Amino acid sequence: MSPVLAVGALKLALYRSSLRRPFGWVSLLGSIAMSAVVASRIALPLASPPDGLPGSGGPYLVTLFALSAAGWLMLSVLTITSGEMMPAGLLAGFPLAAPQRALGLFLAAVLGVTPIATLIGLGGALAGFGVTPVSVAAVVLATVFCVTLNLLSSALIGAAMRSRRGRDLGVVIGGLCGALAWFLYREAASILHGASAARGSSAIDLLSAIPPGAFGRAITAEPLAGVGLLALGAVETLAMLVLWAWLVDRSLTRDAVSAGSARRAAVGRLALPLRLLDRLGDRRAAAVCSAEVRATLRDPRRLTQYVSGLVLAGAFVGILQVKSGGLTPLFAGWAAIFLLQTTAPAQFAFDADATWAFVVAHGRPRSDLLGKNLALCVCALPLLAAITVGLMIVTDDPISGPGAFLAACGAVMAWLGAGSIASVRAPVGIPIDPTKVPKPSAGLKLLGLMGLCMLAVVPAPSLAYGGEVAWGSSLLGGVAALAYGAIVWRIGFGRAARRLERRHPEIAAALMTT
Amino acid sequence: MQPPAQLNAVMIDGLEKAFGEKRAVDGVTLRVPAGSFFGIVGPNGAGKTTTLRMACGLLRPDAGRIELDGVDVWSDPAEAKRRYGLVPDTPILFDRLSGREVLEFNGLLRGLDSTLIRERSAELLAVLGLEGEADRLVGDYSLGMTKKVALACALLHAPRVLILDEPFGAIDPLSTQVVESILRRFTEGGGTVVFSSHVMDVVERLCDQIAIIADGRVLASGSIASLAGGRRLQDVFIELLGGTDMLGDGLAWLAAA
Repeated sequence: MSPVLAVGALKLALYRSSLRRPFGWVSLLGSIAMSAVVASRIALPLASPPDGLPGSGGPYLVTLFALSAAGWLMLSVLTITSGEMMPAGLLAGFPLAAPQRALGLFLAAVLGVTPIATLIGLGGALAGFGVTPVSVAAVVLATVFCVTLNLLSSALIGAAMRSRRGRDLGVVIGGLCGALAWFLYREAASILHGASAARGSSAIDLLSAIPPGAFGRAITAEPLAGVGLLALGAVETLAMLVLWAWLVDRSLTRDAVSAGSARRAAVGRLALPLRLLDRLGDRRAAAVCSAEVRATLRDPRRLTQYVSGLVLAGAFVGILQVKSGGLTPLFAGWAAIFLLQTTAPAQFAFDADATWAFVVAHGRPRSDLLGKNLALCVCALPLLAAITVGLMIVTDDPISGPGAFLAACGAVMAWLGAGSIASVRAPVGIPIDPTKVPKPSAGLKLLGLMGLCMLAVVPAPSLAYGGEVAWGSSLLGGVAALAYGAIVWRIGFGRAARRLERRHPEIAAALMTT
Repeated sequence: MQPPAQLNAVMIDGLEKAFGEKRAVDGVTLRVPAGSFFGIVGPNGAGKTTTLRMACGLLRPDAGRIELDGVDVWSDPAEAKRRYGLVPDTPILFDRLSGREVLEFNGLLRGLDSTLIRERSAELLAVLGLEGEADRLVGDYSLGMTKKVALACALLHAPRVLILDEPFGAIDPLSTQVVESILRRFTEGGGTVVFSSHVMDVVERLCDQIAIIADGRVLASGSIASLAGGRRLQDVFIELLGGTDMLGDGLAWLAAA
């Protein structure tokens, strides 16, 4: 077997081995489910296009082909742990020339659930618009383009953040593409129903000029123009592949971390002087909070989760603002939940080395949890304040701002309460060895609880939402939301802390025997 | 006078690497004779790992030249990587594959025949005491077991040069003896071992030649006999680093505790 094929086989082996871990199962099933949803949302409309489409269906094809790229990038969020995205760093020590390594990695990227879903999704065009050489080439090229786009985006993000973990950092792309896909689908729906074709025409013009939208346009274009569009897209895809291969090669032989670490260390120190937290009265909680905040700001992966949360929150508030025409506390509360969704799983209970150090120092687990709760507040609240101020300026809606911010704080507190309970009820093992600290496995339960928490948080800020939001009702709603959130947090944190305290002797016993 | 080029398994000339303001490697020049057991020793942060990473073609140097078994590492990295096996300080393996599968895919990525991979893997796993654990995922191994798998991966393609970064850390005494035996057999067959270590006893026991590195520079290199002159290597090391009484009057509070 040639080394290039071995890289492809390795990818499949990693895929298979992910099924040996519980989260691997969830990740793989999640990616299959999401792939199926995306494929069906594209394949079914393409397979049965409505009569009387404007421009012989060109804009319709453009929109759905463009949507495939956004959907593909969104899928990468779920496929990180399934082995779908094989890290290039694992191949650094093998005798592969740069082109061999790039070819192998590309082959590995093509083999998997996501590209198959894309092929199926776009394959709907063959049923709806006919099997011709141009349409077949358009579907294949669009799939290759989607794969290449994902690889290049991850490599670029990795290079920008001076980290080899570009594939993990792809969650940022997922967040951005979530908003993009939503807008695109809105446009697709409006074109589909012939309601406002003109409204989306400028966006369609733009999308039809660049792949993969251009590949969709090629299907209904004149034969010569169609081939031209495909050729242009193919050249562009090839150029992206070459750039990606160069970036991968560069990342494997240059130090990607050292130069950035000093800057990150300085940022962490500036962000949270420990002595300020000492005044909280619980010195141990302050120490945990400080360590957590610094870890968030210094670890590229955590920082990216944090930034993607910000992007999601901002995009969500922005979208809802466009729909309603004004900033409301309700939307701010929802945005807070979105922000926490991506940052919370790392913040609770027995996660990583910090907990080990804390337990060895005979700290109370309650203080550990409190410190992590505080850390999340320290990280989230300034961002929420910034988002609120930004939206107040953009929407010219100054009166809802304070109420919206208070509602967001209420949402944060309610989420922290729910997250605390979820984290201590998750089956996280006791750390028995400094080198084998259990990884956080509370994430899934936290995400599951997110839906419940959203429902729990909604009632209070909803008080302030009645179409026209007045200053008084907005502030009242915000205060109510904050009070509500504080109660939820107090109950949730109290229960979680008591449960942790009960486990403390168990942890101490484990320590005595190591 | 330097030995002829063809007798050196590794030749490093004027190697330099800086990370921002810090000069991690500052003009390192080394000759590792073919068939020797060569130790690189030095305190933490001396530049040992950076030197080895550059020697393996994994980190691009700012300046300098490296030849490995007669191949210029940075002109032809793929060919150089065929000639050596590497066990890094913290092995990066495919942790969601079993030990046996890791070896299989290492062999495939190096272009070995499947039958040969199976035969050699079984032998290596048995010798390293991993036979019973071969079908567990590497992610569930201890650090010592991971290092042993990494060593098996490095040996699988029968390289000419074996480069080991802190190979004996976290390995139990029995396994250390097995690993030492494997490495001795490797050098007796004409292979060259280059390894970095803090453990002076191991270095003294195994190595023909050593280089002492500090602050990115080679302080001394040559045979152990010529460097130690009958003294313990540990004493020579501490003397070269000027660390006879680093504590002074510090930490007095510890005595009062």
